[in-house]
Amino acid sequence: MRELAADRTLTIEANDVSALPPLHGRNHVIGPYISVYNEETLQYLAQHGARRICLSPELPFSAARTLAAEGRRHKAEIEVQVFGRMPLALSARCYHARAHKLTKDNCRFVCAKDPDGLRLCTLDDQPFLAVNGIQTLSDSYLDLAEKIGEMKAAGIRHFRLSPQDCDMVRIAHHYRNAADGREPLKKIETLLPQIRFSNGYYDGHEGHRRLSP
Amino acid sequence: MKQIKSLPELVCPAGTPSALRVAVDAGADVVYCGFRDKTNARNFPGLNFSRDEMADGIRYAHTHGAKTYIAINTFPQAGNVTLWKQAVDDAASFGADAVIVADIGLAAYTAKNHPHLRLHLSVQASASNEDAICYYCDAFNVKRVVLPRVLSIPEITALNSVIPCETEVFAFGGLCVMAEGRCNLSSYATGKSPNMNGVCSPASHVRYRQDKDGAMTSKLGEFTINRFAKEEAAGYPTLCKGRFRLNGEAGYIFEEPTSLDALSLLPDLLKSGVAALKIEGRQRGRAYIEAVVLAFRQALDAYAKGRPIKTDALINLAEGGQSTRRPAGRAGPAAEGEKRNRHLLPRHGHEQARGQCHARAGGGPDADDRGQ
Repeated sequence: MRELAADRTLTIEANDVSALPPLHGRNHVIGPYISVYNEETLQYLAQHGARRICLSPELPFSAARTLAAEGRRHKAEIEVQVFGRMPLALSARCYHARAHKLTKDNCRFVCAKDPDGLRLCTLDDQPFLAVNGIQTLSDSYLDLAEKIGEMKAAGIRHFRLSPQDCDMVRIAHHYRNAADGREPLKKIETLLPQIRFSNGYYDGHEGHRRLSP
Repeated sequence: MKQIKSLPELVCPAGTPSALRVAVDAGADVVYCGFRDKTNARNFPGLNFSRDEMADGIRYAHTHGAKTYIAINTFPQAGNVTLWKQAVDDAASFGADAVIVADIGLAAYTAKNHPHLRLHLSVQASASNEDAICYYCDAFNVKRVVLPRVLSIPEITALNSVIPCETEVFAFGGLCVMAEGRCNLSSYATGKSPNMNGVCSPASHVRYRQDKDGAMTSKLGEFTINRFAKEEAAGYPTLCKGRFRLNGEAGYIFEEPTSLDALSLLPDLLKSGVAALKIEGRQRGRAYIEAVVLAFRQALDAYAKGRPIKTDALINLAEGGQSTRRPAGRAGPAAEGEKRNRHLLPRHGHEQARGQCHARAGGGPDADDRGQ
């Protein structure tokens, strides 16, 4: 990690605080696994070189708007994920290895067998979460295409697509259209009819919910 | 056994003023508690301290030779940081012996405005390696870090040899297998999270359903978290302790509903160089607090005098106590999955913990296991 941080040609996104000391004083990005929930934390990190901060998916738009305004005063921009499974938790354990009856230290990288994650269902067979190694994600894909205009008006200029096992070129075009203010040719549900979408966090609700604009 | 000169602090939870007095009287070196609002990670109805109660509690502890740490360990809300700053200011003015914080901005505020107030890093900050811990020490003069429960004793020992601050480790109570402070599972299902609201799998979103076959289904929001056979004790549906299906097999995919009991590990833990042992459970009642604190006080004192430690003291307590605890081997629809999942348990540092469910069948905040 220190070697990576020493390479000034790279833009590094820190997702653990342990990455911050070697990035101190140089431009870097803060990822969603470092908790930036308020303007005080944003200000502190920006003073030490954070130029862009990708927010935790659970933060509502009201918080993102406040942080974007604060960020303008400190040369730090806000990034919000708008597509894909949401990162919800990390663990010291690898649930993928566990599901394949392997130990974490000899996992044979079985997670590669599930490029879109391994679906976890309730005992009622309701899709709930997705396991990806030590990471737990949402089963639903986040979709905030219809919110991009509002976020742009609040000064948010970066929108993250989390790659899924689908035609990401089409997906990128879809969100490019949204970011450029053009009407989408098709709804996201039409592009990926087998996927359940959600946007509940945006307005402060349960993350799994799909609420109408 | 060689007599040791000093013991680690015994840091005990107090969710109410009466629990604080019980913990102090039972032999706690330190009690930790929080204000009655969303600044702390046990923001449950009926728990925590008003300003007057906190001042009185600190006075009581100090009069009886104990310290008080105040947990201000949720993440301040954008646009409303004042509530958290005020909590730090009040902790300082009441004479708290330390504040336990998780948020970088709040740590910076505390270090700048209260440089003489001892700053501890909550487990919610998720600092589990040398570089992360050193970052907080260098930046904010953190004096102690509360380590995640997933570290093994050799890992704790190794950390203690390289970091510039003290360590505090959990010795009893709820287990959390996800990286604390980075977990959004609860809010995904309920809209309420440890980071933002100080709650995990909140009781307000818990429902139980009696099925026709006598089975009991527990739900969190819209999601089934567990199903218990007719004869099986039903536990609280903490999300990561639920039974789910993965790859066609049902079981405790993330973690079984076990609680941590490190009494049997005490000699090794004490040799690891930890400065403090922490008991989880500010949501617990007075009788529980008293019994657990007494058991650990006796164990530590026995160790100091070279006498054997009674390692099963709390197993007996749990079986006859206020919690609906069960043996690890449970019958039920997912028994096969459970067996499989135990293969990974040795990865867990403290997993010599006995298999016990710390949840109450009737729900309520007892089952929450988030960090302090």
